[in-house]
Amino acid sequence: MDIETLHLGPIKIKNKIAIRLFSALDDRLGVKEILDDEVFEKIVPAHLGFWSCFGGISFFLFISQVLTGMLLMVYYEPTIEEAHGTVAMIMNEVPFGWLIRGAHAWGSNLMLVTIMIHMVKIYVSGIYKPPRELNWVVGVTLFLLTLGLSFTGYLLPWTQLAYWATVVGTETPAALPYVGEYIRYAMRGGEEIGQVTLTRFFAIHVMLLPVITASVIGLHLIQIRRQGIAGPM
Amino acid sequence: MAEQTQYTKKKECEVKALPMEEKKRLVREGKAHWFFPGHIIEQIVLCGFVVLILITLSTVWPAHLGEKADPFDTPDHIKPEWYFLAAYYSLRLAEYTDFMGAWAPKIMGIVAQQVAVTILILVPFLDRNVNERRPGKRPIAIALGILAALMAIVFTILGAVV
Amino acid sequence: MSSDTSTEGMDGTRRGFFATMALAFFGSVSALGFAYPLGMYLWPRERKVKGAGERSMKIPLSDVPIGEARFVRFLGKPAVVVRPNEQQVIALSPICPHLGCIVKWREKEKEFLCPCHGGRFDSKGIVLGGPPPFPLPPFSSSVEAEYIVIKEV
Repeated sequence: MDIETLHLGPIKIKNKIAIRLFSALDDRLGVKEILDDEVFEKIVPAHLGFWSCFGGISFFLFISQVLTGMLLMVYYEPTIEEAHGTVAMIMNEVPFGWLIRGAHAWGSNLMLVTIMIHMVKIYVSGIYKPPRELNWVVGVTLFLLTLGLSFTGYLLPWTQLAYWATVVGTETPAALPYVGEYIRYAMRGGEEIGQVTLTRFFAIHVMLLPVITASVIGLHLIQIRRQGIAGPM
Repeated sequence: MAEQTQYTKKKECEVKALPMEEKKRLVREGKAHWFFPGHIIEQIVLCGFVVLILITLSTVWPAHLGEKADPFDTPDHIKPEWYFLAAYYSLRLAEYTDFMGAWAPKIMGIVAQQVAVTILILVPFLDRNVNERRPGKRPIAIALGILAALMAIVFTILGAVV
Repeated sequence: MSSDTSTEGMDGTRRGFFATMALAFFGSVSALGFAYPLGMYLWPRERKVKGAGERSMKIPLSDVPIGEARFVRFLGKPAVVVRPNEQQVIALSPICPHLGCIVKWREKEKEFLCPCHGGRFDSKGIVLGGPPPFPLPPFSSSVEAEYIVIKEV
């Protein structure tokens, strides 16, 4: 690019060094085309209102959960001796620990609320109809994954309520014929709830489910990109 | 209106391929907005607002940490978190199916939950009215939706008080 | 970079300049607002090490036969007690001052050898050879009624 002014949408860049740097990148990666397509020359429908933003907010809350979750992992120890104490330490001793845990705990509740609002909105305005049937299926999967994240995360502070809620929660599927007992055994990692349960809930909560959820969010967004945002009714 | 429907029915890749003049016209006529900077700023402000809500909630109602778990002492009132209350109540409701036999109460509850989730997943395939999107023009879907939502809310409330 | 971000309907570089300044201001304020709690949160806590607090410890004299060395945990770190002969009881930090490996006691030679880079010390911790820049730091040790008592110097 041998130009005086670099146009990026409404931005005009005249600085020679900036243009040289940008051209160097563009020659190698074709960034101008991507930036124009995805950012500077992109248009979005004008009819999107307040009720359309809850999917995006749920996505942002997921990112926030990942970040606050990583911070909590710095101090949290997933053992039945230390779990409760380390969470107490995060809340009482670590500077701003109360904020990080608060944002994580509130974030999980808020995320479920925003997902529910998002689902109601999609249902009421019939956006799940062709060609978007598959994305509804993917969306419900995300809702279930979020419930799974909440269920596994709830046990981690190893409190009385969490422990006994998990006792009941893992007992429920045991009622199913034939497979029930095995499901309970797999969820608990044994007959009883103890260290093995905490270890596996921790692994599922911080690695397995977040990675799956992130991938499924990717599927959700790719479908939106391919199908475009639903038009007005 | 017809034109607008046409634009919004286009796939993302087709919209992307529109000539610049066409995009400018759509923006001028108020049918679309530029993604940059307006839409991006909107998104950032929205995210900032969510962060503010999280900080406010954590400050005003700090996260609670209950007593350490004791496997030898079940507390008096165990309740699941609010989002599991409806499922919890459906289990209790299933206890009334004991007229079908002693096996029924435990199994019916969990089967009912599985059926509910399956129906939720299959909504787009169960709704055969594929073209009409306006809520006013599809009374059955909306009525069923309201019924399901009411049931979820009532079950949640009952799960909390029972 | 002298980029002016004038959007349509926002002509004139002055408005663009103020917009950029305002954006930069709020941007840096909020970046600081995130960075400060994050840094404070991540900065390591001081945690109590088990065994810390007692500034001395006792070892039965019979635990350390003459000519041998015993490694113990003292103030949360390793310490070594050695009796090279009948009269002497010596307590040292076995952490090699070269790169922090733990030295080994060689009974025959009556000297400490660092397994990492071959630093050699005599039973009092004086450097005999190899790369260590200074001797093994000593603890004070005394014998009180069948016990060896180690204290910080």
